[in-house]
Amino acid sequence: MGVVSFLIKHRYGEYGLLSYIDLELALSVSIVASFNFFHPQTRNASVDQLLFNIITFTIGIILSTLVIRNICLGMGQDLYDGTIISFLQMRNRRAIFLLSYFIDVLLIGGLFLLIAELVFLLSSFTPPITWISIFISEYLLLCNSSYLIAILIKRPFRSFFISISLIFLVLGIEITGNMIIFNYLLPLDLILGHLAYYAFRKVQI
Amino acid sequence: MSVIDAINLTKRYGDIEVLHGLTFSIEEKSITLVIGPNGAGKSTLLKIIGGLINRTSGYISVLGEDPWNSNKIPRKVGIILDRPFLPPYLTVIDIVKEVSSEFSYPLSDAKRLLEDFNLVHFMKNKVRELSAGTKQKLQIVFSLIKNPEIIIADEPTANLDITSRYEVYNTFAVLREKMGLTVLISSHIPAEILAFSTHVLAINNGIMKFFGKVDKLLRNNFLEEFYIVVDNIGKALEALKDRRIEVIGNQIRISGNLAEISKILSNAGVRIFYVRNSIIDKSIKGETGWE
Repeated sequence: MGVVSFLIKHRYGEYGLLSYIDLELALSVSIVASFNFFHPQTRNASVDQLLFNIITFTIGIILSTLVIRNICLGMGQDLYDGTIISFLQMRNRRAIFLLSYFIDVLLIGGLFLLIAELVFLLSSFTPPITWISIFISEYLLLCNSSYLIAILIKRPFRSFFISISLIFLVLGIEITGNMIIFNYLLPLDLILGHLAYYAFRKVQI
Repeated sequence: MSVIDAINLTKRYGDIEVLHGLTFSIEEKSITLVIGPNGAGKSTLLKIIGGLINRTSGYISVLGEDPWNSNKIPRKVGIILDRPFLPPYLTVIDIVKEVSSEFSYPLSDAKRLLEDFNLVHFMKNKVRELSAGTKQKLQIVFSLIKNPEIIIADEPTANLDITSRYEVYNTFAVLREKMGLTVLISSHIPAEILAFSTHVLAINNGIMKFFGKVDKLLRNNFLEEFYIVVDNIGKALEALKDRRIEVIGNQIRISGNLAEISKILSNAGVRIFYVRNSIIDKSIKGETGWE
């Protein structure tokens, strides 16, 4: 497996990825359980779309916080102490960025979507499919911003604190009931991801 | 044939210019010692060659490509730094396995490298549990597994004991002979590595002071003095009492004909452990303006 397995072992250790899968299963079950707590008579989330959005959005923030922790203390620390040099000696910068991004962000987000859909299916829970676009938009906004911040600042804890303040901003959007704007933020997420890639290409170690 | 070419290479951090228009060519299969005092720009130069930082202006080519934008250079150049950069929470064997797999290097050969560097006992240890010297050795093994064409070593022996230092120098010399490896090495103990080098690149304050073959660097117009470490200072002083000598710790500083001096000492039953010729230090300092 070479560099891919090397990066996964470095980021998640022996059982880190398995812990994420456990946690994502618990989060998915909690979406169904908490919705059912308020609406015991139905498993159809379209009955109360707002409630379902609030629940999934909150769960999305919880998952993003964990991933952001991994990004800042992973990529941020690697840039700070020079561990990234180990990987940059194995592939070019583009490949290392894409692999890191996949392992840190896409893998965890993708696994959550898969596990959540599986849990929804098994529990005969039928939410509207639009929750996926809102989740992706929120998740990528937080993760891509955090990636960009970690690369620009090159300090693990400082970038983590800045990313946490960003989480509070997103939480504020949720509390004020403006979650719908996340339907339109996907282009911004892609721009942030591209900026993170550009910053990584230019980062001096 | 040259493998590294630099023309007017300049690096600036804000208002501070750390490299001023360096121009040089590193020959294939050479061992080039990069010397200079602290803050001379050695690490910056080596990092530019390794593609870890970008130049501000000028031209640099490593194996015919710009190291900053190249896709191939990361795999062809091995980098060894004075500070450890390997993932701290991975075990030695994990690192060796993954790097061997990435570079299709036989694992049995990689394990032999671990044996050569006395790392076999640490295979199940995490990198963070290793001493600074052992981490340094692991970095060297990491670089060698890559089968690189060029090795860039920034004070690779900074944390190593004397035996390990010579092991590393010997390894570089052997690899150069066997595989045609080109090595760029910076050291704060230039006298030690000069014996293994073919070329010297001396910089001070970012300005290139000397570049050429080692024999061109050594100057004969200095007073030749020897620092000799012996087993019995008292006996040595008695044997050399009609000469002007100075005792520094457990070594003596003396000028004159080395063959005669060693004959007198051995006739007096004094064992010589180590001899260093001051010409090396003086030449280096003279060329670099190193105070």
